[in-house]
Amino acid sequence: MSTFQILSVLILGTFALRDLIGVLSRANGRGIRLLRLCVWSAAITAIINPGFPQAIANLLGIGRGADVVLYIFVLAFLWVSFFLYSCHLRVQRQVTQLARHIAIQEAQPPMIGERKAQDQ
Amino acid sequence: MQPEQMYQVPDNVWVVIAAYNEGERLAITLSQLLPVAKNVVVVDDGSRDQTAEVARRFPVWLLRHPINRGQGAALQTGLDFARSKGAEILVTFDADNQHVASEIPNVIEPVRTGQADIALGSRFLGHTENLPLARWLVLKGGVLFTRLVSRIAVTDTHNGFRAFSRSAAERIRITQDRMAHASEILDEIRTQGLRYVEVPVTIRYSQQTLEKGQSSWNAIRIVWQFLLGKVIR
Repeated sequence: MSTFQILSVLILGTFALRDLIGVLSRANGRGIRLLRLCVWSAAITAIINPGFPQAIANLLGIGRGADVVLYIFVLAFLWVSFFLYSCHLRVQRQVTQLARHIAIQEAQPPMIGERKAQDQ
Repeated sequence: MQPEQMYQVPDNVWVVIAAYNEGERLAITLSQLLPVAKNVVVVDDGSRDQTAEVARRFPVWLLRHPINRGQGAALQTGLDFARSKGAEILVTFDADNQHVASEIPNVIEPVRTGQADIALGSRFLGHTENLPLARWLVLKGGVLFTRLVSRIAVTDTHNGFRAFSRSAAERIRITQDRMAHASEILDEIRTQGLRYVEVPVTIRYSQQTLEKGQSSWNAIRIVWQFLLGKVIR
């Protein structure tokens, strides 16, 4: 293995180990940890064995292994974008609730006598 | 002793106005509204102009969002507040003098008599003044979109003149902070199984309201926000 492969596998292996511990320890967010573990494992496999993406490409009838990686990145980008937008929207809703709470707490009643002034 | 003023609608009717940078037109709107309804709530949605100062000159409740949150958010704030004050019928009304205050009794009538949970103003059953063709096309597109997506057959989808019974206002929760709230309300009417009727109303477009109002292209953003809001809970 080249130096690049060794370094990459070490870094990805650390991430995978952290998520594996999270999955086994029954911590919150097991689903997302499991998904990340799959991603790290696939990346490690592809780095150790560069023929792996090509094998997947042949299996799917795509042609080139590089295309498989590209398509996966496009799909991952869309998923991450949607995930981040969801988080953003939820935070926006919380900000609105906060603004609403302040507005209602500090509601200013009609001025006494103003109505008569308007009528005159 | 001065006699008690008579209003065109009962005291349990509350009118909610969401106002953002409407200082110029809000005074006219409130002047026409106050002989009709006693209880008016103005929600200043983080305006940078003199909207709050204008509202303070009138005998209305004034609520202020510390930052701009959008018309949908401001309406929900006003509706929550009005309900907390015991409102039995809640009317939403635009701040920019597009609506005609003397039509409020007609709009609330189906709700007051129990014929419907919600009365929706319709400019296409009623009357419009100076409606540009581009806006007409967008509004008709909105009607088609609503019929396809929300499966509710209304003639006007983005009319801010509505009346809710108290129970309907409790059941409908506006989560679309910005302009997509109008589509969300219609969607909620269908999903909650609420009874609704459309009431003819007048909409007056002026150069000022068209300049300040939504761009016709904004319809694309509204559709996008509405669809995403349906998915993300």
